[in-house]
Amino acid sequence: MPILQANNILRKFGGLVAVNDLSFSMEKGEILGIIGPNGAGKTTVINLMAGTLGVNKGTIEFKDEDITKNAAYIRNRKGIARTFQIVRPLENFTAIENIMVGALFGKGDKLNEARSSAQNICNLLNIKNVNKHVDELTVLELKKVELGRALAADPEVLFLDEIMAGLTSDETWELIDIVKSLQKKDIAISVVEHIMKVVKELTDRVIVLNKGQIIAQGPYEEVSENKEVIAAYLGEEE
Amino acid sequence: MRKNLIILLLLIIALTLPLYTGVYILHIFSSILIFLALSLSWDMMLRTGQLSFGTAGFFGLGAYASVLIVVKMGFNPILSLLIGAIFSGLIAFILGFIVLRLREIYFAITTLALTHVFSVIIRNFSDFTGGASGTILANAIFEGDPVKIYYLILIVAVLVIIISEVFKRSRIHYAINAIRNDEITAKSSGINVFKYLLFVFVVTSAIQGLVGAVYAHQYAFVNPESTFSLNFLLLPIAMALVGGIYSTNGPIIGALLLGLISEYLKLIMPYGHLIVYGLIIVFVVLFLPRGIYSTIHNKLLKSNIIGGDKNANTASK
Amino acid sequence: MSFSLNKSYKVLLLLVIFIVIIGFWNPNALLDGLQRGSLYSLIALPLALVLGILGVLNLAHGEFLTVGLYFIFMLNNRFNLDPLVAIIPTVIFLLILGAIIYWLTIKRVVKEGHLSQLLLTFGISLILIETINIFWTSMARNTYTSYSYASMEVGGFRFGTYELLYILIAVLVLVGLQLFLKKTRLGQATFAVGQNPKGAKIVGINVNYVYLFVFSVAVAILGIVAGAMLPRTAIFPEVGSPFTLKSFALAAMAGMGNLNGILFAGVTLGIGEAVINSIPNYGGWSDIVFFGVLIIVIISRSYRGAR
Ligand SMILES: Nc1ncnc2c1ncn2[C@@H]1O[C@H](COP(=O)(O)OP(=O)(O)OP(=O)(O)O)[C@@H](O)[C@H]1O
Ligand SMILES: [Mg+2]
Repeated sequence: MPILQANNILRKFGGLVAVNDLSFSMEKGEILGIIGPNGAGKTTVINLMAGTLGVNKGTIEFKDEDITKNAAYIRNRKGIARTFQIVRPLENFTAIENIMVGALFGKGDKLNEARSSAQNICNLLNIKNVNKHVDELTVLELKKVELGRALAADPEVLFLDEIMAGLTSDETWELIDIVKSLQKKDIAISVVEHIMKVVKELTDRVIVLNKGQIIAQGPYEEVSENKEVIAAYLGEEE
Repeated sequence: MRKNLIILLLLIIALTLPLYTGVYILHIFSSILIFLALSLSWDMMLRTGQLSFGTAGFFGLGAYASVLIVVKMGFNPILSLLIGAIFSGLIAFILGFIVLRLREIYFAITTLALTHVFSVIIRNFSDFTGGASGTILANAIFEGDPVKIYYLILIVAVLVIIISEVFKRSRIHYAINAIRNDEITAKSSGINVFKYLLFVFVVTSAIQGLVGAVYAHQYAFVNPESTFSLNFLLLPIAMALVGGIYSTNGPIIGALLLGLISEYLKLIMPYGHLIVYGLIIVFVVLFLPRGIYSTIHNKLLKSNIIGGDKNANTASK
Repeated sequence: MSFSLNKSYKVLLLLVIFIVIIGFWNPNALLDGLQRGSLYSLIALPLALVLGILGVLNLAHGEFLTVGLYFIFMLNNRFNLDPLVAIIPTVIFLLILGAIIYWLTIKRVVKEGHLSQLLLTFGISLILIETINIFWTSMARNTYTSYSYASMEVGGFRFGTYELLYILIAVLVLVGLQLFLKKTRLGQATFAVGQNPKGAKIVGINVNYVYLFVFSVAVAILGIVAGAMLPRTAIFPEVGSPFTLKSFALAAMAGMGNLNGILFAGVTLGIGEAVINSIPNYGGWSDIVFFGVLIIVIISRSYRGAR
């Protein structure tokens, strides 16, 4: 039984249909890859599922409950967390305080509980400079803080929007291991990635978006052979 | 430890002030404390990222509500102060559903326009409010006893300081700081942005209403022009800026500093002494965006004069 | 931002109908409203220009008008210069003052957030008011000219001729501004900067220079307004202050950057104010027209802007 399900969701920006009548679902303990060329609508899908944006049509169900009308903060409290493609840290806070925010409001921790939850997450993600302000952090640390804040809400569904982009190979492997360890905790994870090595390594199943629609789905090996998929990516090269 | 000592010392000075000063000094400090409370309330709203220009408006509403309820319905003056706070809070609650959708200049300008709307409405319901000439109380609160009035205002100011500190040390701090930083991140992290904005808007407006009520009862009158004067907006802003925004200490230091300076200037230049506020606002915005308190505090921290480990210090904030 | 003329035909038609109705019903209020409206638009134009191009809401706008008024008052008082003639030195004076203030202060916050901009210009407004207080105290002052109360009679209907000048100047300034933006190189550069500052920079426009220019010209236009206003206005240090908010109300109502819209909005609100003003016992409510409309416009825009 899927934990999160999108039924025929549609989102327009003016005349542009960014997500077009899209349906898909996510399962516990499964890592779903969402791939597709630039502008395919991957980030928009995350925005719609997490409630950052509203859908124009269609419904979203979480654990058999219709959450289409729920605001982003309610969905987060129910157990849907996300990271942003361009990280959005809270600049007036330290690394650990950023993560505390997730624990305080997403999970509903008390202040003292939130500090220890956040510390645990820092240990898990191997964040060392917990008291550094955001503007002193490295790219990898920023990505980890972004991930940490999402994790602090204790989510059942997690959307990761290109968290590997801009990292070195070593750093990418470090994050891949972390994401795999999350999978073992029975979280349903969705990763949006452009780096095919990562998609291949991480995902159980992939959906390929082009112009807001699914053009192929299945295991990575299968999908990567698909002609339509290759054409969509080649179209992007031009 | 040393911080607690300083607070204790200041509190003792504040409490014993009437023992060794005359009416004039008491009067000055009463007025400084009034502006201190306004300044802190303005800053508390600013911490959510919303720049309010409505301070004078809610101040005036509270002043009118408390004076009218005494004059028209014979309410107890002390109780009427609470009515002033509740009335301003209530109006803020109702208006909040509309204006808190706005951001940046639109929120700022709308709150400023509301201040004018309040004063026009009050001026035109002249049968009830006394119109342009206002309403006079038969008696100032406590028969105008300056010592009692000073203590009343001190209580209000301390109350506001406590509220500000509670805001700083509770989860409210994390919520509103997150909202100011990045509303989208805040929303996706489970924060009910509107609820927090409304809560802070209502609390700070109620404070402004309370302060307005106290001020009106101190001088025993209200009239549209002086009660809704933009001085109750500009001076608090300047004070918070000078001391340092987003903090409790900043507005306190700013209010003391500017209050005393302008009191002195008033003696030597009867017209235009408020220019110092303008100069200071401009100077601070351009050169000390973090305010005097924060700037000095950070400098001292960097040079390790205020001892201790820097990380431990920022983490405890 | 759009400086379009085309969309405004419908609005123009509605406005004409509105004016005709009011004209039959209450010709005095109509004339009064037209005059007020032209004056409001005239003052709002430069605020809208700065808001549209620099993205800065100048809260000291009304105070620059006050400075202009006092400068002309001084020229008239000391040197017996006719206020309308004094416009020329005043415009030059304000141009320089605007440039200096831009260079010393505004320039540093153009790229900052709204908080710094609003607070800075708020501070500047206080400095200007208090400077005037220091030199001239808070006493209200009047200027007399032989022509300011001239009147005319048409078909048994008597009205003051002087204020017709406001309408004339408003139209002239608006047309001048449009021509400038469309026909001159500097105007086109200004237009480009308003549309897209980054792009303008890339094609080699000196954005900072354009900003300096726009800000100074905006302040200088207020010199023209001040010269026209002074013969009919008692001045005191806060005389210009209410115009800041009113100007913003018009800019918001017209839509950011729509200069023609400001004239329509100004005339509509001016007439609205005049009509309410003419109702016995309820005249005091006229002050609420601008603020009420401002609030309604801002809020309805925010609803429409929401997804
Ligand atoms: N807020 C918005 N307003 C208008 N258009 C938008 C908005 N967000 C996305 N779009 C458009 O919707 C389309 C899909 O964008 P989206 O960001 O979802 O793509 P993506 O697949 O995440 O691309 P990338 O790989 O570059 O991140 C694009 O054409 C984009 O320009
Ligand atoms: Mg994307």
